[in-house]
Amino acid sequence: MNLNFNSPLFEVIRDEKKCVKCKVCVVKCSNKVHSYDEKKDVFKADDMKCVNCHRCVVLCPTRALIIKKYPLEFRENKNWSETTIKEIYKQSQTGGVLLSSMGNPNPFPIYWDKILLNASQVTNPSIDPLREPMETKVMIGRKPEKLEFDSNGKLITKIPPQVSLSMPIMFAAMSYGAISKNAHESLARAAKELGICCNTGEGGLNKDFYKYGKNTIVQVASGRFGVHKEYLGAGVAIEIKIGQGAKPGIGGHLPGRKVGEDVSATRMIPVGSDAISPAPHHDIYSIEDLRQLIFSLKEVTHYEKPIFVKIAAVHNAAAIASGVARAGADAIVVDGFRGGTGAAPTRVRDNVGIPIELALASIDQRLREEGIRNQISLLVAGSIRNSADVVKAIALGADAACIGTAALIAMGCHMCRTCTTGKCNWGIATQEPDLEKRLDPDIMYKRLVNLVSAWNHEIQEMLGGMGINAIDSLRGNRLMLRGVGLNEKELEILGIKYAGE
Amino acid sequence: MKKIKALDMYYRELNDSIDNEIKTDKNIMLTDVFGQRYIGRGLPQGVKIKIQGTPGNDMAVYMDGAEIEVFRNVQDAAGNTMNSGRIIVHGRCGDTLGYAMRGGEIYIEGNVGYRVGIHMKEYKKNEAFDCCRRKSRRLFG
Repeated sequence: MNLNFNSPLFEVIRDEKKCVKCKVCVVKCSNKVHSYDEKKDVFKADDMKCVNCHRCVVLCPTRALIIKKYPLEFRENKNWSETTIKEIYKQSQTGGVLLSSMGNPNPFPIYWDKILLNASQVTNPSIDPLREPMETKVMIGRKPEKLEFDSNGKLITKIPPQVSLSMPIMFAAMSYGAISKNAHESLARAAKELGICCNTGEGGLNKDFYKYGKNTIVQVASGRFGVHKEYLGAGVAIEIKIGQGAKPGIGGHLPGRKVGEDVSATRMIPVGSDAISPAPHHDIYSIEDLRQLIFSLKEVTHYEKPIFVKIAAVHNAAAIASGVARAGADAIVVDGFRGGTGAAPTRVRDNVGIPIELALASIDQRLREEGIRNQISLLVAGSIRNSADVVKAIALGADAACIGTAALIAMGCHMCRTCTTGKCNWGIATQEPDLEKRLDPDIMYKRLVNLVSAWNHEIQEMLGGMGINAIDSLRGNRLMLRGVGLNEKELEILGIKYAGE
Repeated sequence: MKKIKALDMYYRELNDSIDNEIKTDKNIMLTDVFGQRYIGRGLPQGVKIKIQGTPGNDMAVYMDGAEIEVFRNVQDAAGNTMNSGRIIVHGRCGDTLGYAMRGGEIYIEGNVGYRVGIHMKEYKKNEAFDCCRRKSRRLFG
């Protein structure tokens, strides 16, 4: 018996007076919500299929469509929420693990919003970034203990390999397969124009994008998809993915239906086969083993590339980060529990990991206490929503921040959080050719450039306001931060004072 | 065939000298190998290396067509993420042999450890396969 207890999540409302019957909604909806009955000359909408992606609403020439939350209410109950009840309906019907997309949507505290920035007044005056130089360039990589010069003043210390970013922002790792080729192209072109980096994610690097290598970080994950010698040499750095904020402790899964010819060639797996990354790297069972993988990558690239290690923000993140630094990594990427994903088990996404703000503060503190902060760059990811989040992250000790979800939103993502279906109406999280071509890289790369440039302007404004003229002077400068609505313990972990103190 | 005596050489030095030698002679014999890691990493087709002694972890990692023959035992993770090529071992092998390899051949005369051939994959005509004459421990393939 296939009895479906679930009711629709959204209701499609059409204003008949405004509708000109152009049928754009019918053509454009990949979920097949809208249909047109020729005989009766009426439009129908199957609310059950609607995911509230806004595609029809935005494209409707007369704005005749509105999507609303479905008005059906369960009897009020603070314990058994509508979501909880509906999830039980779904699981008791299918027997499956619940899958979700994008980051944790639950009402956990967002510490960024409880941290406020300082500004100069009168003494130590603020700086005008429009008229005075303002340095936002950052170098990611291991820094030497000290610099030595010969008698002519020439540097003799060998500087380990570095990645240069024109601003403290990078695009987060999103694999080809999870997102479309056009989305990848937009990210790569934007990274090139901005002088920053994008990240291949674990799905390999498409042959067409090797030309963006100088702005690409190539990732090596447990599935080792598309990892070969040429690929490892293609980018400016190599990232070993140990964990991901959205799903710490588990591997990845790209369903076979998303593995077409091109994804197959890039991932180097057969067409139509599920691409499953195991939870662990099977050659890493300790920090010593991690060191072995780091140095195998350094060996095969002749010590020319910095090696990043990406971990999810988990309870012992500080100790793990210390181990990663000592294992020889050049940078550590810490991904908080709000980080996005194409697909993660709902229970894992919503219950595993810790906020990036707390993880970042404790990692930076720990590395400083151990005297090894210079040995490793610290990058953060996991719901960096705006330039203020970036500035706060840097003041808490980060070298740079990675943006994933924000970049997707710039390309049209409307956060309907149904990436798992592969039917993304905006051409982002899909491999269907008809949907993918809706995303025009010529337009979308410019939107990404606009977004990140705007953030960079804002970062310069905020830096100037604090009387600081280089991003390096802000790093770990927690005196520039004050907390509101935080308890003693939270202030202690964040290493900041309360507002007014 | 060029001989390299690996005794007291750190792996970085040994691998660099292999890189140098294959520019003139693609057939190399390594002697007195004592656990140096990453031997044959990423080496291309045409290179043939014979090894006397015990190579360390990650032998033939990311290897891309070369052939390695070992006359004793091999430590862990040989053939890790190997693209193509051939590994022949006249002895035993440690854990995670052929992890995530997508092409090439591995022949082991003796026993092998845990997680052999884990996450091996097929790609185009590259068929990866491991062959061992004796026992493997748990989690084969």
